[in-house]
Amino acid sequence: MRSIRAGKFLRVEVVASDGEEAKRVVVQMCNELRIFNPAAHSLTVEVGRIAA
Amino acid sequence: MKVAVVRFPGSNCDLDAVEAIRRIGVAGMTSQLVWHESEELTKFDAVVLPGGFSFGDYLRAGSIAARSPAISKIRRMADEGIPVLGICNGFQILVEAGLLPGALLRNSGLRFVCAWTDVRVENADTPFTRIAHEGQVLRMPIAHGEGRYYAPEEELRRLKRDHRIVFRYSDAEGRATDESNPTGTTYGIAGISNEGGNVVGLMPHPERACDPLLSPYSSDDGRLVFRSLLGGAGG
Repeated sequence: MRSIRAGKFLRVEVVASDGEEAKRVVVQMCNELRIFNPAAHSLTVEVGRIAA
Repeated sequence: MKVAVVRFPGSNCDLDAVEAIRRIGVAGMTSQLVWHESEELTKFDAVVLPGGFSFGDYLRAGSIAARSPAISKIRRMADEGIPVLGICNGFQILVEAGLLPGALLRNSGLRFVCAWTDVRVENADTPFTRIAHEGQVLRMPIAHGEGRYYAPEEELRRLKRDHRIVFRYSDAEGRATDESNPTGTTYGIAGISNEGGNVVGLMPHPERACDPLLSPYSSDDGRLVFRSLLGGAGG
């Protein structure tokens, strides 16, 4: 086994001009709302499907 | 002294806390339930955040309540030195609000643990422990799934250095061992305080250890936590 990952994720739908902006908005939201506890968790944001 | 017990949607130890404080029976000490959206909170001399499952523990225990209107008021009150006590879910809320450092993670066994525990008073210089003596062992129950206190190494060093660890799990003789740590918390921590010492959070339930008739060990050790608010007045 090379790696293992456990946990849960949140799927967030945002309106943005591109993937970078969408990512920035979500990171900002997660930081401001403290969606994760930085004492114990880290934040990874991945941009998924971009709808037209 | 007027003590507010803040009720969130999902609180379930709020009435126990109100009753425990009422039963301390000290003239001039009253307790009252306060809805978390109430404007009344700032009229009180002390605040208790009770246990339960505020907002259904969605996202993480305490994380949604930490964004409620009550918390911004409690933040200001804490800055002014008003005593604030978080019990179980209340402790989780204080941590999620950043009023106390660290995190409360799933218990090490990944199971909800409901048990009577012994905790040793590490700091008798808070509004909730001032009639205790350091090293005194209190018997109080725990009941939680997310109570494994965790702090990064640097934070833990600060907590130790600043004497902000208030309670540690121990055996009945006051020895903090791995066996006496029911949920695998860092350094056996059961409760901590903020830098000012006026905000204290703990996982055990003092309000459930106030009447010997309700304890299999006839413990009323939890009274000490509430009586400390008045410096020991009352029975």
